[in-house]
Amino acid sequence: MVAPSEDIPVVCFDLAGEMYAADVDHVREIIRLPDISPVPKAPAFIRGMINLRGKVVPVVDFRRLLGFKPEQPTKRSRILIMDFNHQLVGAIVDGVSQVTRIMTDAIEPPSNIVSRVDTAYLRGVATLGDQLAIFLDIDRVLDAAQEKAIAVLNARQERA
Amino acid sequence: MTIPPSVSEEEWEVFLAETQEQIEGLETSTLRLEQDDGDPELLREMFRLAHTIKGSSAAVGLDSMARLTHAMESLLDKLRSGQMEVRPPLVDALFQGCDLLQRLVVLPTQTSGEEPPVDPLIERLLRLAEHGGETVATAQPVASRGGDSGRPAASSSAPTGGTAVAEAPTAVAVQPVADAPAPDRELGGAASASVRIDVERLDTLMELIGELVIDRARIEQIATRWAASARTNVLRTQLSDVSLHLRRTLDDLRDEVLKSRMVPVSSVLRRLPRVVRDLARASGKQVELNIDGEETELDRSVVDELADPLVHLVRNAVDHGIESPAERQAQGKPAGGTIHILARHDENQILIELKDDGRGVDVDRVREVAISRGLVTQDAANRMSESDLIDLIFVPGFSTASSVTAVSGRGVGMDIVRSRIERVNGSITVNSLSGEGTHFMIRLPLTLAIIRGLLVTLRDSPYAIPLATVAEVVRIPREQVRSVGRRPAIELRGEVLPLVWLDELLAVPSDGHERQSLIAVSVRIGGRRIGVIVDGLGGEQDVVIKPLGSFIGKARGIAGATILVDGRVCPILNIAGLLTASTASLTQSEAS
Repeated sequence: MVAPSEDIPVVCFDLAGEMYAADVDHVREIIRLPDISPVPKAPAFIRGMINLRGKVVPVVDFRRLLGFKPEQPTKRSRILIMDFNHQLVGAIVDGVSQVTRIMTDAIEPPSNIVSRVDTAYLRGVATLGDQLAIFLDIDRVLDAAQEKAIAVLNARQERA
Repeated sequence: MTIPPSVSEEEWEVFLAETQEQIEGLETSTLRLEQDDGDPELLREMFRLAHTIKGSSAAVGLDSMARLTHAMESLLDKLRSGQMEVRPPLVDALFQGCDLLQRLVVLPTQTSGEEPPVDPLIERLLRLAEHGGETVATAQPVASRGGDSGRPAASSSAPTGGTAVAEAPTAVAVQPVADAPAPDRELGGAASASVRIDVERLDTLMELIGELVIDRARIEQIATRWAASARTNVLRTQLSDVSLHLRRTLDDLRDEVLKSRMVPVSSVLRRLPRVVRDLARASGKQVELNIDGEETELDRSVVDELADPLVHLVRNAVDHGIESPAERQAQGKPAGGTIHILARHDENQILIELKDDGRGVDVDRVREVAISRGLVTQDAANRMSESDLIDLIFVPGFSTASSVTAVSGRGVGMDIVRSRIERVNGSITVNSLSGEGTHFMIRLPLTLAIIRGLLVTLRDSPYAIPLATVAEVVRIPREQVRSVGRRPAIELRGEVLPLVWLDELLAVPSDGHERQSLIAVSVRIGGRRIGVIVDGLGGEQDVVIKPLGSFIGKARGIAGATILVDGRVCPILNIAGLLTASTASLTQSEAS
C-alpha cells in the first residue's frame, strides 16, 4: 500500500453471511439475475451465459468459486458485471449492500481467521462501521477462475 | 532483406501478423511449461504452434525460420510423446528459439540487417532432442556455421538431423523462383477508387449490425404482439411499417458490409501453384494443378482459416497421392498427375473440392497403421467399412508418411486440417478409390460473423447447430432403433446411422419421457454421419455469432453463442467437439 492514506471506492456485497468488498474500478454495473443459458461441459462454478444488451457475458457463481456451499439464487441475488482483461464477466453474489469508501490505512493484512477464502485472493480486511469487510482481489480471483475453467475444459476434452 | 517478391504485400501482412502472434503464443507457452512442467495439453499446443509457423514460413520462403521451427518441433515432439522430461536446458533452448524467430520474422521488412546465424541453435535443439538435457553440459557448442547455408544441421546427429538436411535441396531450389518477378502482384492496378480498411473495423461494424438485427427482430415481435392484442390503431400501424422498413434497410446494410469483407478465394489459392511446383520438383514427379472458380468470394476471416488446411491437403496430394511417372505409366496412367481444385458457392456455403488422380488412400496401410498406433483395435478395424477406415486419416496422431519431411508428415496434419475447419463451423469429407485418386470436399460458411443455423430444443432450452454440418433431419419411430456394435443406430437407406442423445452429450438430466417418435439431426463429422437426438426443432435461422471471450471460449463443445429474438442466449453447438476429441475414441467405444 502507498504511504499517504487514500480512500478506495468499493462495492460491498454479501456472500455466505460475510461482507465482501470489491474495487469499484472493476465493477461496471450491478444487475438482477436474468435468464442464464448453460455452457455445455463447463465447470460447475460457471453458471452460464447471459445477454447483456446484446453481448454474451459468462457468469460465474462466486459461492462455488470461493468454496462456499452453493445456494439457489434469491430475490436479493445480484450479478456484478466486471471488467476483466478487456472482457466482461458476471459474478453472482447473495446481495449488494452499499457502495462506500475504504481508507487504505484502515486495511489490515488478510488472515485465515476472518475468512475461509484463500488469503491469496484477498487484499486485506477493513472495518466499515461496526462490520468487517473482506477486501477481494478481483483480478486474482478471476485469473484463477479462468485458469481453472480452461483446465477443466481441457481435461474434459482429454477424457472425451 | 526484402519481402519475397512472390508474396503480395497483403499476404505478407497477414503472414507477419499471424506468425508474430503464434511466436508470442509459443513463448507464453514455454513460460508456462516451466511452471506446470510437462502438461500434455500444453505440449500438444506448442507442437501445433511450431508446426504452423514452420508451414507458413516455408510457404513464404523464409527458409531459416522453417528449419529452426522444424528443430524446435523435433524437441517438442520428444516432450509431447513423453520420451523426454522437461528440463531447464530444454526450456532455455526453446526460449532462444522464440527470440530468434521474433528477429527472423521481421527481418524482411527491415531495410538493413543481416540474418542472425540460426544453425548453432538448430544443432543444439536437435542434439537436445536426441540426448535430452543431461548431455548438454558436455556437448561442445559447435562453432558457428552461419556462413555455410547448404547443409544446416550437423550430419553427425541421427534421424531428426538427417531430415533437416534432406529438406535443404528444396529450399535451395526455391531461391531462383523468389528472385523472379512475380506476375500476379496485385498492387498498382487496384489503385482506383478503393480504400483499405482494417479488418478489425469491419468486425466491429459486423458486430454492431448483429446487435441491430436482434433489436430489429424484437421490435417486430412487439409490433406483432400489439397487432394481435389491440384494435386498429394508427400508432400500431406506423410501428409495423417502420419495423418492416427497418428490416429491409438492415438486411441491405448487412449484405453490404458482408460484401465489403468478401475477397476472392484466389488470394489463398495463389500460393498453391508454387507449393505444387517446388514439391513436385523435389520429388521428381510431374504434377499439374488446375484451379476453377478462384473468383468465388468468401469472407476474409474464413479465407484466413482456409489457407493452412489447403496448403496441407495439396502437399499431401503431391507427397503421398501422385505416383512417380514410371509408376503411373506402368499402371496405364499419363506420366503427369493432376490435382484439381474447384471452388463454388452452394446455397449459403462455399464448397471447395480437391481431387487428385493419384494412388488413392491405401486402405490396408491405413488399417495397419491405425492398429499399430493403437487408434483402433484389430477387431474394430476388421469390422469397419472402407470409408470408415479412410476417415481414420483425420484422427490425431495418424500419419502414413513413412519419412518425416520439413513441412508434411508426423501426423498432426490431417488432424489440424479437420479441427481448423470444424472450428469455423465447416466440415470436411474424403472419398478415395484405390488407384484412381482422392477427393476432399470442404464446406464452409460464407462468413464467420453470421451463419445459417438449425435451431433445436432440449428441455425447452434452445441450441443452434451450424447448418454447414447438418446433412438432414429425420424422424424415427422408436422401434426402429437397434443396437449396432453396442451402440444405438438406425438403418437409413441401407446405411447405418449411429445415434447419440443430445442430453447425454450435454450431461443434461433426462426428463423421463419415452418418446415414440425421435427427431434425429444427421450431422457430418469428418466424413461420417451421426444422428443427434433432440427434443424439438425450431427451424433454420441466420445466427449472429457472438464472441465468447477467454473464459468459456475454450469450451470445445460450443462454437460460439448467439442471442435469439426473445433475448435468450443460445449456444451454438460443435457436435464433433462434444462427441469426442476424435473419431478414434468413437470407433474404440464401438469396439469395446
